[in-house]
Amino acid sequence: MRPSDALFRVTVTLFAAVIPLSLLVLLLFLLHDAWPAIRFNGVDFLFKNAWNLGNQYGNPVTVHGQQVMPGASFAILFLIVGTLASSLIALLLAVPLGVGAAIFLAEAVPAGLRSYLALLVELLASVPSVVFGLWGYVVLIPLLAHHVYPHLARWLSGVPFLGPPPGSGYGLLTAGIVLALMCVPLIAANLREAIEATPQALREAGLAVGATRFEIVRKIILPRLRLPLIGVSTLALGRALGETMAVLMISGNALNILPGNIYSPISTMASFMVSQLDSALQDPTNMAVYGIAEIGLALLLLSLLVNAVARVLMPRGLSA
Amino acid sequence: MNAGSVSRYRHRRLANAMALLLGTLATLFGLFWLVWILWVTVSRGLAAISPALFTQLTPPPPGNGGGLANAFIGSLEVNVIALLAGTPVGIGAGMWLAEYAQRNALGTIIRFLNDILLSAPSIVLGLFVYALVVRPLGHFSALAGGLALALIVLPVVVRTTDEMLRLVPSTMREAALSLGVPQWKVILQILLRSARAGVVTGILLALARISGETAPLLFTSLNNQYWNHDPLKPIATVPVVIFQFAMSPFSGWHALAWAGALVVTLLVFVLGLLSRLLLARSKVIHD
Repeated sequence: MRPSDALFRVTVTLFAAVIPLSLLVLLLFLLHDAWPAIRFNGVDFLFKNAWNLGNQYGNPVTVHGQQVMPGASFAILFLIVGTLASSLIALLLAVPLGVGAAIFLAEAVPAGLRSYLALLVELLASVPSVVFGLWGYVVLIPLLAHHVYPHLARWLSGVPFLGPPPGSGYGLLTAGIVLALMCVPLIAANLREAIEATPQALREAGLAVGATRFEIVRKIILPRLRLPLIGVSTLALGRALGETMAVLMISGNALNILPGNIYSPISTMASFMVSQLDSALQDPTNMAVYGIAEIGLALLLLSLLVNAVARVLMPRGLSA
Repeated sequence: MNAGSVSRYRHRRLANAMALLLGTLATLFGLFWLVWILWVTVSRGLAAISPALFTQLTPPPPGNGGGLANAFIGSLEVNVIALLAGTPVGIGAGMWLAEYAQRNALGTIIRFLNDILLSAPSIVLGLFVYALVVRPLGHFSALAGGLALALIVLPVVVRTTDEMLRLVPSTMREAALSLGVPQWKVILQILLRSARAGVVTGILLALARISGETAPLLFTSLNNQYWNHDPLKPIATVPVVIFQFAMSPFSGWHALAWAGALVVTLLVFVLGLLSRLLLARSKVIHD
C-alpha cells in the first residue's frame, strides 16, 4: 500500500470511529453525571412519585454518602407513566391513519399524482416540533378544552379513564393527539416505500386470478408487510418517546401526580428535563442536576431499546 | 353465473369500495390536520412578517414591535458551526463505510450504531453537550449549541454518504484502479465527485433537520436578547425564541413567534424540496 493510501485509510477510519466513540462517551458522561443520583435514589427512582428539590435554604445533609438538601427526593414514576401513556395513545391514533394513508398512496392514487402526494407527506414529516407545539398551544387546546373534551367526557361518563372531569385542555389526550400528528407522516412515508417495494409480479398474479385491489392489499401485500409495519410503528414510538418541545407546550407539565383520566395533565421524561433545568441549576448540592442526568440516562436507554428493536425489524433503507 | 356467486361478487366489489373509501378518508383526515397546521402558520405568520422582522432585535417584554434579526443570525451561526463540525467527519466516516467496510461485520456494527445515534432523543444529546462543554466552560454558548446539533448532523451525513457511494458502479472503481490511480484519489476525486449530488442531499437534509431543533439548544446555546458574535456566549436562535415567545402572555411576542415559525417551516420545506430535486437529477445521471 502506498503511504498516501495508508494515511487516507487511517484518517477515514478515525472519522468512522467517531460514531461508536460518541455513543460511548455519551453513555459514560450520562452515567457519570447520574451516578450520585443513582446512589442517592436507589430503585425508588423508578417506582415513586416524588420529585422534590427539598428545602433550598437549609443546610445540605448527607444521605447514602451523597450531599443533598434536607427533604429532597427524586423519583419519576409519574414521568414514566406520562411518557408511555402519551406515546401509546399517539400510536393508537397514528398507526391506523398512517397505514390507511400509505395503502391509499401506494395503491389507489394515480401514478402521476402519487409522487406529489408522497412528497407532501414527506415534507409534513419534517415540520419542526416547536411549530406543532405552537399550533397545539394557541389553536388546538382552546378548541379541545371548550368544544370537544366537555362533550366527550359527558358522553363517555361511565367509562373508566375516559369520563369527566374534562380538564383544561392541557393533558394526556392532547399530547397524544399532537404526537400522533407528528407520527402519521413518518409511518405513512416509510410504509408506502415498503408497499411499493412489493414485487409487481405478485400484484399481477393477484389481478390475473381476478382478485380485487383490496383483496390484493389484504391477502398479498399486508401479510408481507407485518415486520416492516411493526418496525415503522416502533420507530414512530421511539420518536414519540423522545419528543420534547411539543409535549412541553401542551401537556400541562404535571408534577408528582399520575393521570386520573385521559384529560389529566401529564409530563414526560424529555419535556420534564427542560422544564426543570432552571430550578435544578439552583440546587447548591447539584443533586437536582444529577437527577436530570438520571432521567436522561433512563430515556436514552429506553429509546436505545425501542430503536434497536425497530432497526432489527425493518429492512435497511426504509427509515427516515 | 348463479345467484350465489353474483351476490358473492357484489360483496367483494363492496368490500373493495369500502376499503378504498376508508383509505381515502384516512389520508384526507391526516392531511386535514396537517394542512390546518400549515394554514394557521402561514396566515398568522404572514400577518406578522415585515421588514422589521429581519432588521430589528427581539423586543423586551411586553414585546411590541421589534423583530427576530439576532435570532436569525444566531441560528445561522449555530447551524454553520454544526455543519462545519459534523459534515467532514460524516463524509469521512461514510467513505470508510462504503469503501473499506462495505460488507464486513465491523461495517454492519458501525452502521447499526449510526442508526441508533440517528434516532437518539435530541434532548439527551443536548444534556450530553451540557455536561461536556457548558459546565466546564461555566456558561451556555453558541459553540455548545453548534456541537449539540453536529451530533444530529453526523449520522444523517454518514448514512447518505455511505448509501450514495455504494450506488456508484464498481466498474468506475476498477477502471480507475487499473490505471494505477492511488485509492485515496479514486475515492476523493472520482467516487465522491460522481456521488456529489447525493452527498449534498444528505447535508441539506441534515440542515433541514437541525433548523427546527429546539430542545438541545435550551441546554446549550440558551437564548440572548441582544446581538452576540462571540461563539463562547449564549446566543438567540429562532426555534428557542419561538418557544420563549409562544409561552408568554404578550400578543406582540406571539405574532413574532408565528412569523418565526413560518420562516423556519418554509426553510425546512425548501431544503426538503431542493434535496429531492438534487436526488432525482443524480439518479438520472447514474442510470
